[in-house]
This record gives sequence, C-alpha cells and structure tokens, in this order.
Amino acid sequence: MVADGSNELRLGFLTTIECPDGALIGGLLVTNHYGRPLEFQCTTPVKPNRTQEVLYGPTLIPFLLGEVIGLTLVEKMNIKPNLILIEQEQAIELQKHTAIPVAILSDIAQILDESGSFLCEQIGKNRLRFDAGHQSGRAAIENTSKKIPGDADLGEPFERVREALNEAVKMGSSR
Amino acid sequence: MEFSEAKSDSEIGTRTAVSHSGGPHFLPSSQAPHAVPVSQADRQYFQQQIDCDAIPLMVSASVFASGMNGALSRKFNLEATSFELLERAGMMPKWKPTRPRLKTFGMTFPDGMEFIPPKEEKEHETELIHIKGPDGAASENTERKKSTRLKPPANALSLEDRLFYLLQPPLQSWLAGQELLMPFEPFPYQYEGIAWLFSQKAALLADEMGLGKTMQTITGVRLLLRSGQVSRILLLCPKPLIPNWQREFKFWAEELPITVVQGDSNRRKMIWEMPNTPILIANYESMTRDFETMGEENIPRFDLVVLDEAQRIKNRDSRTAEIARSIPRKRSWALTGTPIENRHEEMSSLFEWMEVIPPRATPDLRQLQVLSKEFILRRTKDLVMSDLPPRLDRPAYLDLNPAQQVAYETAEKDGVIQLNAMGDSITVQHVFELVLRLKQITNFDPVTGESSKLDRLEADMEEIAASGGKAILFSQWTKPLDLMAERLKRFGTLVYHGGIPTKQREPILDQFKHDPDSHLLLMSYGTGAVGLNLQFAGYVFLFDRWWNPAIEDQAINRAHRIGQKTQVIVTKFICNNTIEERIDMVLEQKRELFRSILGDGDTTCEARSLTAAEIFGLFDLKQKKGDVTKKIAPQVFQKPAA
Repeated sequence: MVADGSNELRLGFLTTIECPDGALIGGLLVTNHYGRPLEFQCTTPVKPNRTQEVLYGPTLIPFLLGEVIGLTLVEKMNIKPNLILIEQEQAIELQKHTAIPVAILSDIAQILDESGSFLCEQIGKNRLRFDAGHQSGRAAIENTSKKIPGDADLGEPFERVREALNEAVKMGSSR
Repeated sequence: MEFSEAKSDSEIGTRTAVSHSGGPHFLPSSQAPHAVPVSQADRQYFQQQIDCDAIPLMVSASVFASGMNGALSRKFNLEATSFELLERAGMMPKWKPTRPRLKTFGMTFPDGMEFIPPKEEKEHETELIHIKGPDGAASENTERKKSTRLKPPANALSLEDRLFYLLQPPLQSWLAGQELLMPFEPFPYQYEGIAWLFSQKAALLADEMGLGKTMQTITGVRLLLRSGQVSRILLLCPKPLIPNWQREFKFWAEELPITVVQGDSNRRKMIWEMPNTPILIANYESMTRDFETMGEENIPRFDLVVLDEAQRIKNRDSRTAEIARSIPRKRSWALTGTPIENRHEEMSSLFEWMEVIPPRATPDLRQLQVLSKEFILRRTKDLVMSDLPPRLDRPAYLDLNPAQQVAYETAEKDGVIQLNAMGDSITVQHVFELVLRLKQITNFDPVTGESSKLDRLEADMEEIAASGGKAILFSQWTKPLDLMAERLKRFGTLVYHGGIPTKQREPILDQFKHDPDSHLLLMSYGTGAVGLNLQFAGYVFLFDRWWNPAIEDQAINRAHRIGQKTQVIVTKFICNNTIEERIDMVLEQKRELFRSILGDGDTTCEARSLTAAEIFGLFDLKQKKGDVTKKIAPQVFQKPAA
C-alpha cells in the first residue's frame, strides 16, 4: 500500500516537563491515527534567566511553552502534524505562531466557553478545545474525529512523551 | 507666706511690663490690657482699710522671639541654570525580547519515513542535524554519525533505541476498540482460512500461491492479538521476504507494530529480549545463529511461531529444523505453497515441527493423508476463485521443422555419446548443459533460424491481432525474444526483459496496455514473471518450458489474475519427440504424488523443480564396462538453477 501522505492523519502531542533544576524540556510526538509514532523531537532544557523572569512576568510560561519550545519543535519536525494537541493551557500561545491548528485536551464539557472564542468537540474519550475562529482548525478537528475510534484515549500519548522526556533527562544527566 | 507671694506677683508684673519692650513690635506696650500698675499708696490704703491683700489676676503671655518668623517672610534666593540640549534623548536598551535558540533531539520512526517530503527542506536544516530512527540497515550508520550530532548523549544510539520503545503505544491501545479495518474485503475462502488458523494450535496453510496466505496469516494474528490469546509472536521467513511481510503487515493491519530482528548480534540480542514487542520478524539464518548462541534454555518463549516458506525445514536433521523445533511456543503455524517438493517424507518434518507426531516418527502415506485432513488447509485457484474467468491450457504439440529436426538429433546423439564417454566423472551440470542446448534447438534452428514454434505463433497472432486481443509470451532466453520481435513487428510487438534498462520498462508496459496497435509483449520468465499486472491480456504463450512449473504459473498469473474479464488462453509449446515431452512427463508424475497426499485440491503443477536424478532420467545414460552395463547416477546432488 502506498500511503497517501496528504490524507493521512498526523497528530502532534506537545508537552513539557520540568527538570529538578527548574529548566523546562519540551517534546513533540507525531503519531498516526492509531497512535503509532512517526517522529519525535525534544528540546534541550530551557531555563529562563532572571531578567526574563522579571520582564516577562506572568507571560513567561506561555512564551516558553508556546513560542520557545513549541514553535522550535514544530519547525524542527520533518513530518508536520495536521493537528497539534496540548495539555498545558498556557501552551496555546503556540497557535499565534503556527498555521497548524492547536487544540487543548480538555475536560470542560460546555460547547462554547463564556467568551465564545473556543469550541469544544468530543473526540475519542476526550474533549478538544480549540480556537473557534481558526478555520483550518475546524477542518482538522472534523478530520480527526472521523478517524479516531470512539474509545481512543488522546491523553495517553502525552504519558509517552513525558516518559521519553524523563528518559532523555536521565540520560543527559548521567552523561 | 501669702505676702511674699503677692510681692513676688508684683515683681512678675513689673518684670512682665519690662519684658514687653522685647515683645511683638506691632502691639504698643501701653495698650497691654493687664499691665495697669497698682500704685504703692493705693496698696497701702487698701491694706489699711480692708485688711486684705490685692492679688493681680492678670497673667500675660508673650510670644517667644525665636527669630524664625523673620526668616519666613524673607524672600527665597533663586538661581536658574540652563543646559543646552545637544540631541534628542534616546533609550539604551539593555535587553530585548528574543526567542532563545533551542537545540532539539529527535528521531523519525520507520513508519514515518514515507511522510518525509523529499529533500526540499534542506536549507532549513542549517545547524540541526536530524537523526533517523533505527531502521535496520541504517542503524549502523547512525552509530557512525553520532559524533556529528549536537550534544549527543554518551550512548546516543541507546537513547534512540530506548525512546523508540518508550514512544510506542501501549499494547491495549493498539488493539482495544479499534474496528478491524481491512483495506479490502477478504474473499469467502480467505475468511474460512482465517477462522481455521485462528482455531488451530498446529496448522499448515498450504494454499496455492496467490491466494493470500500472507493476508490470512496476518489477519489470524490480528484476531489472536485482539482477543488476547497471544501476545508474543515470532514470524520466520527467508531474508528476502522480510520487506514483503513488513509491507503486507502495514497494508492489512497497520495498527500492529512489527519489529524486525536485524543488525549486529548485540542489537539482535537486545531485540530478542525486548519486552513489549508483540510481533518479531526474523529470517531463518539469524534465528538459527542467535538461538544457537543463546543456548536452548534461553530461547525466548512465544505464544505463536509462524514459519513462512516452511519447506525450509523439510530436512528434519538440518540445524534450522532442529532449532525451529526447540523454540518454546504455544501455537505453530506453517505456511507453504509446496509442502511436498520431492518426497512425502518432507511432510513428516513439518508435522514434527507442528508437534502433531512424536519426534522421529515416520508416518506412512495413509497416516499422512489422515494428518493432512486435520492439520493442512489447501485451496487452489480453480476451487476458490469461481468468479475468475477460466484459464484454458492448450498444449500445442508441434513437430520440429526439418532443419531443427536434424540439428536436434545430431546434438542429442553427440551429447549422449559425450556424456557416456565421461563415465563416472559426469555431473549434473554436464547433463544440464545438454538439456539447455536441446531446448534451444526446439526454439530455433541454430543455423537457419527456422522455428516451428515461431511459425505457429505467427499464425495465432494473426488471429489475435485481428480480433484486437493482446498476448504475452514468455521465454527462458532473452536473445530469441529480440529475434522474434523483429519478425513479429507488424503486431506492434514490444520486448520486456532484464536487458531493458529499468527506467524504460514502465513506459513499455504502459504502451502495451494503452496502444491499441500493440498486440504482443515478449517477456523473459526472470523479469516478467513476478509482480506485474497484465490482466488485460487474454492470451499467454509459453514459448519454452521453465524448469520450475511454479514460475510458469506465476508468469501465467500476470494475465490470469483478479481483474481479468475474459478467459485466459494459455498455449504451451511442446515439440514432439523432444526433451520437452519428457520434462512434461516427469512433472506430471510429481503432480500425481502431490495429489495422492493432499487430495484433489491441487490441480496445477507446483514448485517442484527437477532434481538431479530426474534430469539424468531424461536420458538413458548408461556406462558399459565389459559385459556389464550400469546406470549412471549423479554423485553430487545439485539442483539446477530454477
């Protein structure tokens, strides 16, 4: 079988863990719709300096998760996902920097949040919250929901990413 | 006491009056209300008259002259200094928000390789070096490339390996809840086969080639995994077939992760011992080597072992067969299109591996028939593909042209004499050479180029071309194909064989398919027999017979396959009174043996090439020593390259 790359569903799972010294390490796993891994990229630890902490204030974490880590990983990927799932709310910042739709794995039940800017959709066992105004996001979510079996757990791959990141940290520190 | 107090009071009054001189200058001292002095005479008068004392009640307070008030009213002394503004005031930013450059580490999984767009992203990858995932042959390279990676961990290969497995989804999620998606609906007989495999602890699936043994096996494995009956499977196959299995697994059960046991011995050892690898694929050679090294007690356990091309273990004394028998397993499936290649004893080895007969048992023909019924499933195309248009085999018995006849007889006589003269030093190669020479003469007379086969072909092609049909022709040799193409030019004849550069091959097939004036495609068995879909051709010519009938079948199946709309007429040219007749006869005898064990399922000839003894039998080779004649038999059994 020749897989048609354009039609295949490729899901990106982006998450970040904190090292014991406070640095952040991000990983992005791209899988097919069965959750089989296609590509994995992780960053080296990122530790903001004091100036950045002071000047970015509360926007520091979204900046690090979304722009510094998320965008770097997305740009690095050879296999571009057609939907990026995140579990850390603050990483949604990434959406401002990439055309690939980003959705938050969410357990919020309502279809529209108060501001009306986010939509929720049930996919597999999970709910995805995504920017209501993002047109390609809507298409990507629809495409995803068609191909994902009803009892698929979209939260599971994040565990793999975290485990892989921990492994990378361990290997890195034992070096 | 009182007096003295009064006295002192008057003193105060006097003092007060005096102190007024230094008081606020805006109040005249004469106007001070309580400063009216009481005269001494009055005082004395009062004292005499009323005997009382007068006490002045007035208490006066005056403001202390601190001198501060004067300072308050003093004017400020102000001075202004002016500075020239030489330039606009600017900012000297010490910090600006930048996105720190982040280093990344990554891997692409074998599954992901196909998604990677071809090379155009080159310029983006300026300083980040991408590391490919472990994909077998490339893994050795990865080790070498290690030094070029940015901050590689001490044992990067190992990290990659570890991540490779860490990032695999958990077994449950591969299987749980996903519908069994099939790219195609299996045929009814395939469903039967899958169900049969699923229920068998020991099974030999001996379906005819092309009926989908692979697909049935994969689906059987999938069902067993899904139902939780097995969790660790080993599939053994000849090395060249590994990519084929990978492809088929991806096609039929893409959710199942497969791991190929390959690489150097350390890596292979790691894979053998790796937990959480449900399906391992290994080739016979590395399996034998690795398990030999591990020792029998350390061979990993499997729930299911599948042997593809199981005739590999037909010799029960071979190392491969012994090791294969020692693998601890719960289920044993064997796959082969040719469970018997030469002798029925070969079945015993398979049955012994399947553990349905005791070790070293030698069941006779009748027992084999009983075992076959229970443990072998064999279907042929004729039986199961009723919707496929029939294949009509028309052997064309031809007489050689006079020139060919002479050439053939001379060559045979000379050849046999020559062989006889060689006595015991004769080998199968010598006989084989003679056979080839004779076969060539039945195709074309070496001197005149006359050919009764070509005459007949030309006549048939006139008819086929007139009706707009298409035909494919197979020959063992490529040179005669070029000769024929010249003579059959008017049928828009195309040639496709190993001598054609690979790039030109596809356009040739394309032209044959779409050009209405192209009626004949000449192919060699070697190049054209495998993998091509030519089901728009209704005629197949076998110009000469191939040693291995399975190859002939494969060739015919280019046209006679799913998608064929009309019947396929197969013309096999056989020259009377030549070696071709004798070859045909030997194959027919084998077919008979096959049928007697496996029943009537088999109606086509199978992959049973001629053995050395059979090739010798084609000629009446005898050696004469004095009065005694003895039959010459080959000392070294060596199979002809078929």
